[in-house]
Amino acid sequence: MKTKNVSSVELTEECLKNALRSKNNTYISLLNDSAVLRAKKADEEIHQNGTMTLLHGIPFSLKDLFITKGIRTTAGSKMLFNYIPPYESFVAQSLLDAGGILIGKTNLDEFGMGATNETSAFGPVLNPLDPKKSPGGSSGGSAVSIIEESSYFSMGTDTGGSIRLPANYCGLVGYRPSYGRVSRYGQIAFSSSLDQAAPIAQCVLDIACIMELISTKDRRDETNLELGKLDLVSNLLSLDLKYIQGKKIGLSEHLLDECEEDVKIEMLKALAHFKKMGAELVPISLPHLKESLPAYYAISSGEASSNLARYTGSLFGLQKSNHELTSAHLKDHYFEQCKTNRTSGFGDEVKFRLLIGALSLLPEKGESLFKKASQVRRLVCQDFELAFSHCDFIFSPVSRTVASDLNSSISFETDSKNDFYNVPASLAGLPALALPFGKGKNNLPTGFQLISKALSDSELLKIGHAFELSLGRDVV
Amino acid sequence: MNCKISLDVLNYLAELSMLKLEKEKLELLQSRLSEFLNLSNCLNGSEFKNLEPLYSNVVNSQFIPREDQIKSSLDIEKVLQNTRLKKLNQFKFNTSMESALNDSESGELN
Repeated sequence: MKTKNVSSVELTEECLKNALRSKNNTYISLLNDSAVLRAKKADEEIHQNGTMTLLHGIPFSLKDLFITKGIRTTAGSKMLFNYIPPYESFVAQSLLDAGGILIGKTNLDEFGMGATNETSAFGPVLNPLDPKKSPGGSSGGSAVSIIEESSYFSMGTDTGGSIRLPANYCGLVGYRPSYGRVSRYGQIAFSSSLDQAAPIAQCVLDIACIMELISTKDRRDETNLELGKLDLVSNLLSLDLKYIQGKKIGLSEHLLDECEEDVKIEMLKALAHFKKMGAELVPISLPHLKESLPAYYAISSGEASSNLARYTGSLFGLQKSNHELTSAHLKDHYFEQCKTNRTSGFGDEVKFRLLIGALSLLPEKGESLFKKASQVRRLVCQDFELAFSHCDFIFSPVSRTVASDLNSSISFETDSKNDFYNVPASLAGLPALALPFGKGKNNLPTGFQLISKALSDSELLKIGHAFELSLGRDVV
Repeated sequence: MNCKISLDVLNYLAELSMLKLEKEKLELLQSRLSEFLNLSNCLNGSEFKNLEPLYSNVVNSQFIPREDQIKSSLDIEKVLQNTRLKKLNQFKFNTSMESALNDSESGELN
C-alpha cells in the first residue's frame, strides 16, 4: 500500500469476495458495505499522510466473542442471536483505531466452549484443507478466515487452547499472550481467570504487528497489567538465525507418548531442527500434567457458571417466554421464565459445562472441587517455575492428532483430550506460541508450541520468528 | 473408584444452573458428568491438601483503583434496542417478573 501497488479497497473487496464464495460457514456477520467504506477512508488517509500503523488498511476478522459497537455480537449462541452492543471492546477499538478494516465476525464454539467448532448455534465451521475435518476450536472461524483468504489476520481468544488448536489444525501461527498482557474489556467472559485475547496469522511477524497494537494498558480491566509498550516488530526485523544458538529448550519426559505416530515423527523432526540450529535440548519434569485437565475443567466451568448466570433473558438476549402474566400467585414464574429462556438459549455443550460448574462449586465435606482444582493449579505453576530454572522455553505438541473428523466425539474423554497439551500453560497464565511444522496423516498440518516464562512474550516471539527464518519461510 | 452421578444430583445441578433438562438427554448427561467426576478423582491427592489455592495468575498487579472520569453515558436508545419490553426509557420486566421482584424485595420470595 505504501508503494501504491495495491489499495485497501482492492484488498477488502477481494477478501469480501472470498468470504461470500466460501462454503466453510466462517462468518456469523459479514460487514460488506461498512468494510468497503472504511477501506476507502484508509486509502485516502494513506494517500495524504502515509500509513499510520503496520495494519493500516489491512482487512481482518474478529471472533464473535468480542463486543463490537452497533454490530451484532452473538458469542456463537442462540442466547445472544439478536444482541447489538452499545459499546466497543478494547481489542476491536485498538485494531479499528490502528486503521484495520473489519471484514466480519467469525463463527466459534458457543461462548468459546469447545475444541472442534461444532458447538456453535450457527452450525459447524469446515476446515478448508478437508471439509470433513474440524478446523479446531473454539476460534475455528478465525483460522478459516485466513486460510480461505477472507482476512489477513484474525483476533480470537484462548482459554484452554482455543487459538492454538485451530492454528495447529489449519497450519497457522496462533499466539496466547501472557495472562494480563491484553485487556479483556468487552470480551464476552467464559472463564475470567483463564480467558485471553489471542491473535492468529500466517507468520510470527504478523502476530508481532498485532501484539504491538493491543498490548497497551487499559484501566477498564483490573487484570490488565501496566507493562509498557512492546517493541516487537523492529526487534524481530533485526533478528538473525543466531538467536536460537545456545537457547535451552525443555522437553518433559514421556510428553510425546500421547501423540499419534505421524505427529510424534514431526515433533522429533522439529526438535532435531532446533538442535541443528544450535539450541540445547534439556530434559525437564512437569509431573502434574495428568491433573491439569480435570483442574482446568473444574475451574473454567465453575467460572463459567458464574459468568453465564447473567443470561436470563430478562433484560436482553433470547426472551423465549414473554407472557404478560397478571396473577400475583405466579411469582415463581420469574425463575420459570429464566429457566425457559436459558434452556432454549444455550446449546448442549454450554449446558453441560454449566452443570460441571455447579458440581465443581458444590462443597463436599467443606471443600469444593473448584478449590481442589485451584490447589492443583498452584502446583502446575510451581512445576513450570522449576522447569524454567533449567530452560528458556518449553517444547510441547499442540494436539495428539492432525485435524479431527467432524461429528466424531460425544464422550467427555475424547472431547477433553483435544485440550491435553494446551491447558497447562493456560492454568499457569504463561504465553504460548503455536507454530506449524510438517505434515501428518492425509497431508494435514502438524505443529508444536513453545511456552515461556510469564510476561516473556517478546522472547517467545523472537524465537518463533527465528525458527521461521531458519526454515526459509517467506515471513515478510 | 468409579463414581456415577445420580438422577437426583443431576436434577439438583440443573436447578442450580437454572436449566430444564430434556428427558432424552438425561442419560448422556449423566454419563458425561460421571466421566468428568472419575477424571477428577486425581484431584483428591493428599499432596495438594495444604496448598494455598491459586485463583488468579495476575502477577505484579497493584490493583490501584482507577480515578473517576466523567464521560458521556451510553446512548439509551442503543442500550434499549436489545430488549423487547421497555417503558419510559427503561428496561421493563414483564408483569410476572415485576411481581416476583417486588416480592423478593419485600422478603416474600423463597
